[in-house]
Amino acid sequence: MQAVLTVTNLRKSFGGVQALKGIDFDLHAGEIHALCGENGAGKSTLVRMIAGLMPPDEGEIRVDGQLLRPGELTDPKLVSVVYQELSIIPHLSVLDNVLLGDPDISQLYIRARYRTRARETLDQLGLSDVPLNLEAGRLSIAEQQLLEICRAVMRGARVLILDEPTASLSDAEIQRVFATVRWLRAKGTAVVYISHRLPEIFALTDRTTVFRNGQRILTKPTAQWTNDELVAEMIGREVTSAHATRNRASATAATAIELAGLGVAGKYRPVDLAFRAGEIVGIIGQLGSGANALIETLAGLERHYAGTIKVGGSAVDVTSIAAASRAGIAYVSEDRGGKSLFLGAPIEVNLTAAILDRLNRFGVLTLADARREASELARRFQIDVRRLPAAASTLSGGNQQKVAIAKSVALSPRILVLNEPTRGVDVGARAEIYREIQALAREGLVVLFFSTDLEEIRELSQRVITVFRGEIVRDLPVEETTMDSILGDVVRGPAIGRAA
Amino acid sequence: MSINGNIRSGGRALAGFDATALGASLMRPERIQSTAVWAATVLFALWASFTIPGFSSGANVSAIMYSTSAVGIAAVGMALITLSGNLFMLSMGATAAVSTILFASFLHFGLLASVVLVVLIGGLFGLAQGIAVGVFRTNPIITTIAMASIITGAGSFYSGGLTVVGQGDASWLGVGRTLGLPNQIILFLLAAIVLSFLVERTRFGRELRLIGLNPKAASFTGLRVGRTLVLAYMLAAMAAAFAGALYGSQAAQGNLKLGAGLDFDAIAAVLVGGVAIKGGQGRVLDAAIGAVFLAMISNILLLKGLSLEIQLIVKGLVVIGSVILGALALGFRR
Repeated sequence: MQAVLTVTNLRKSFGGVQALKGIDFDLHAGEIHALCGENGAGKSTLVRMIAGLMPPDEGEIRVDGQLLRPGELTDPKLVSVVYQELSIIPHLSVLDNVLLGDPDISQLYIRARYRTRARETLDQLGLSDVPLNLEAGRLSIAEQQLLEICRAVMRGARVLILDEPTASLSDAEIQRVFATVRWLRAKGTAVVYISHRLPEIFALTDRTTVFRNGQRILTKPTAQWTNDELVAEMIGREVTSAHATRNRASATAATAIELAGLGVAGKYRPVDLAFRAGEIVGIIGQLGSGANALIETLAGLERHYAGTIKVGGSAVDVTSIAAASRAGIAYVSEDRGGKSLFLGAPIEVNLTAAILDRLNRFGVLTLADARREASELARRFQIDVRRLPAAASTLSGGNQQKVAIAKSVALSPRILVLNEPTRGVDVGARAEIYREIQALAREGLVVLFFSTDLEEIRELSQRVITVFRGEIVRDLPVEETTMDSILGDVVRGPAIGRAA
Repeated sequence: MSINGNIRSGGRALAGFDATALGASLMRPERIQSTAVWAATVLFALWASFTIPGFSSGANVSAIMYSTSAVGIAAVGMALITLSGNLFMLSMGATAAVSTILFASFLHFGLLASVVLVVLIGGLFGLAQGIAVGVFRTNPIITTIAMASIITGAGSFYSGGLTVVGQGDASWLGVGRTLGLPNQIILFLLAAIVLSFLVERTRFGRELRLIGLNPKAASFTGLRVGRTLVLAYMLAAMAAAFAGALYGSQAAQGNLKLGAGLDFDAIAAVLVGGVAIKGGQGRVLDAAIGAVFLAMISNILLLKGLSLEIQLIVKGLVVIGSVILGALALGFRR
């Protein structure tokens, strides 16, 4: 078979962190190729470079023998990518959305010319009941996802990359995607299929490549992989022993926070949960499962929730971030640069940003106190004290995350809520952050975190709560879970989870 | 350069003082423009006093001071809005114009009472805009343009479109001097120092800057976003009203035409001074030196015998040039 896409010795670093460490990879015409790996393994960096969204530091990418120019958007006739995040424009029609970004559209944009072809493609994807003139925003999320795929198919790209295309789809809709992908394979398109759902990979793909820590570990025909082997390669065997040093919350520790009938309409059903002081609890579910909405409620981001939250026995109000923080709940968002940090401000200003209310006398900042607080936090989180006056943007991702966590810990909360605590953080900094979180728990803090990273859930939590479609599937000590049981719970819900 | 050093050390209170970092920090991309304007102001002043006859005469220096004062006060107020990430307040000219009328009609209560009343009423204008932008999250440009229309409309309704002549003595503010310096320039310096202190040393200022840097992170951090913005708009409108009182005092009369062009002059000073349009970066004193720089350039052109039209063109070019310079400096950061 002939290679359509060849990647040679691709390297990329972000501020000292190697995201890709010399990747070689090839893709054949008429194959469906699965990319597997944990978050941060380097899959999305590779995809972004193939799409031309970022230039590699080293190495080259060829499509059909043609060298891609680094840092230039790749011709969508060669490579089309369907990203996990939807890029549907809701107030444009279905047809307009399908044609969006197509380089062959005439300057006059005469829609009639494209109607037939768009109709055929939509029918092929099982969207025959969707009118071309309908506003795309009125489609369901699943239909929008299929529309994204339709857009890529319309361009007739040689290489189609699907990044978690089924994350929000039901089984019937997944079958439509499968049928389309197989049809494209028959037409000679090379398809890259990225998914965390291992059964899909076994059902659909021809070859499977595993990535871990920025390296390509192994490529084999999918039929030659076993489920366990694939998981083992994804996690890396060496990390499985990391649980040994785990400290446990004492079973007799007092209940620190209690949720009674806590629910948000349309996001998750009411839950009753209690967390003890010193517990580290991981909550995992797919996007849209309600798992992150649950922790966001505690953080004060869901104004309209039902049920009650008791901290230390007394009911508290968490209708705003300020209210949650008054109740002793501090939150670290999943988006460091966007929602947590002031990248243009000095590190010490970031560290003390949440506690300005006690760093002033009659409104005038007590700078000596602020500096002392910042230095203490920096020492505790192993941030270089000499760098405190430098802008937060000068730090690496891992150190920025430490600043984000330290900034919330400065509030001296009783409950620390973390959303994706180490997204995009390299392995070394990740270990430091875990150690720090464990130290906080030892001091009696309740740590609740949401993560889509299985490895992180297994490594950091003492207790794992799995969520599927707005309901808790299981709530178990981590020792009683396996990679497969967690994956089963979050992907297929209770029935299959228990059978496994 | 000593002037730069002093200003730097004042500002470094935010981030801890480090003598070796001083030189480097002056050249930091986000500071390079204000450093350049400080230097250019000094160099132009030296060059002009040696080469342009009459530039350094007492009468001319005081003329520069008078033309700096009102614009400078408005500019340091405008800087708060720009720092907060809300671009500009486009109701400053209207606020100042109406304030000249209010100033003249209140003058019979006495000069001080008149100024205080005018500034308080300006504060009310700012309160309205601050609530709209800070609490209801309206677009700052549209909100302040709309407010300008309301203020101007109300002002002409009140004055009947006529010039209001004040009954009283406004000469202390209009032409008075203390220790040889015009009182107006002293008031400008005081306004700049007070607002600078508020921004650099108070909780309000810290929150304002953080909101300007990243409004989303500010609300996730639990900062008092609405309250801080309301206060910033009130202070800015009060600065505009105070500038109006300065205009009104010069002839002890009020007219809606006085203060026209103040919006652009204040924006020009903020931009030339090097306060970043995207918010959070820059200092109040940068806007002040921007106002001094622009007043000096206009004065030099005037002494060279160039007409008002040419002065306007040059002012526009300087602003565009400074915006390009700012964008280039930010580009080098990557």
